[in-house]
Amino acid sequence: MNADMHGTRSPECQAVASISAELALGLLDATEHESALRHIHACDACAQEMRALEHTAVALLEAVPAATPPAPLRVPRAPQEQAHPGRMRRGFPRRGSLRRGSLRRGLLTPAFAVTAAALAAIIILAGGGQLSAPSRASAQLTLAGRTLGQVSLTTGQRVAVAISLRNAKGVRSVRCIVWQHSGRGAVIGSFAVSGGRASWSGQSPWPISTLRSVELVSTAGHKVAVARIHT
Amino acid sequence: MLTTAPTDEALLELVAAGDQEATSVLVRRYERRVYGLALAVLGDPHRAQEAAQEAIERVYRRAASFEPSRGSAAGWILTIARNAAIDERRRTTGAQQAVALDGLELSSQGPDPLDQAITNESLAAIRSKLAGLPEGQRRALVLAAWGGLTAAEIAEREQVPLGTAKTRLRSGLLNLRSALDGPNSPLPPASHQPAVAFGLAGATHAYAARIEEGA
Repeated sequence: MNADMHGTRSPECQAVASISAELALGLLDATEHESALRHIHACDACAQEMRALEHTAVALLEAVPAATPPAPLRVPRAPQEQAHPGRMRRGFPRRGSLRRGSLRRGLLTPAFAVTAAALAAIIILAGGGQLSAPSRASAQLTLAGRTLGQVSLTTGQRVAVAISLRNAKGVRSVRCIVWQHSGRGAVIGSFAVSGGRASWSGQSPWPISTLRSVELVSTAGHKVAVARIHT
Repeated sequence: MLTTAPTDEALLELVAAGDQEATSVLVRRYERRVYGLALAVLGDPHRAQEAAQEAIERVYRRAASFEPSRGSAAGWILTIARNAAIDERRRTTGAQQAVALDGLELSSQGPDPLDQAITNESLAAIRSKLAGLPEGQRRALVLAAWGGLTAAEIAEREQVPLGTAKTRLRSGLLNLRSALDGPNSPLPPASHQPAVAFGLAGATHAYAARIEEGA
């Protein structure tokens, strides 16, 4: 936590210690921030100190009293949700975030996945492989000719995107991107993959009829699987 | 339809996915805290309202970049709120606010917005511990945490060497942490802290902007 905990501190530890408070308070610029984090992630003593400093800094912010604004704050809305979903492409959603109580988790139970897949299979068979009902669609997740899982899309109040992934060996987590025929895409979530398998659900911001594909990309940016949507 | 009380983290996830209802719930859940923080920094209800609105917009735009493994959603949101308020202060009347901050005294009931904030009853625990810190550390912490001043800016304001300002900040945070530790500590126990936190660091102006640009 301090010099005593470190014993003899390395020059790197001393350098980080000199800016650790600013780091905890969110006052460093990007270069300093990244430089400090590189060391902290490799130094247990500095990481321990940072945790202590950061939680105290958060406590300081959270201790500021609440107050009622003169007028309720406006709820942000995309100017045209259909036209500007690009904001959702920025950055990754959280690692393992859907294991942290996300409401969307409930959309994909095993029963739901099986039912959606079965219905989709019936529709595909009836339609010669081309889905005709825009309220529901399903497609295989593939990469280089290998089938890695399945995507099921169902329109309810929102468009649910259910992913069943298997045989994705060596992949630990992926983000899910939906692409429109127009070329617009949106990251709709991320999830962990264990033993090459995962089940997950999210929501598409766009109607099924506008979707071209659903893509899974690893956190390293490599394409894991793609499902072409035919409606 | 949201039928249960979702966690902040779950709400941010849904906001990132464009869920309008979740966005509304998050705004209503945080608007008083975000506004209160903006008011503490700015001291002017009208400007605080504008800064709080800007903070909400930033949270909405950056929701996809939130990493729960790095810290709490509340800390992330409130840091954005503080930064938005600081930006508003610097954009409009930075010099005027700087003069007001010169009168900062934790024990006063003066008009300084930070003074007003820290005299609130809800701050009693933190404030009492802050009051126990050496004055230099106390001022440095308040100026940095609520005023958003860097160590260099604090050094200039307080007319002390940069190294002294850095030391005051770090020592102040560590001493406050020690003072707050205990059975009734408002801080999470070490066992509940994520292995890697550093969420505030991820919300700095430059860093957040870089994330938003997708770099």
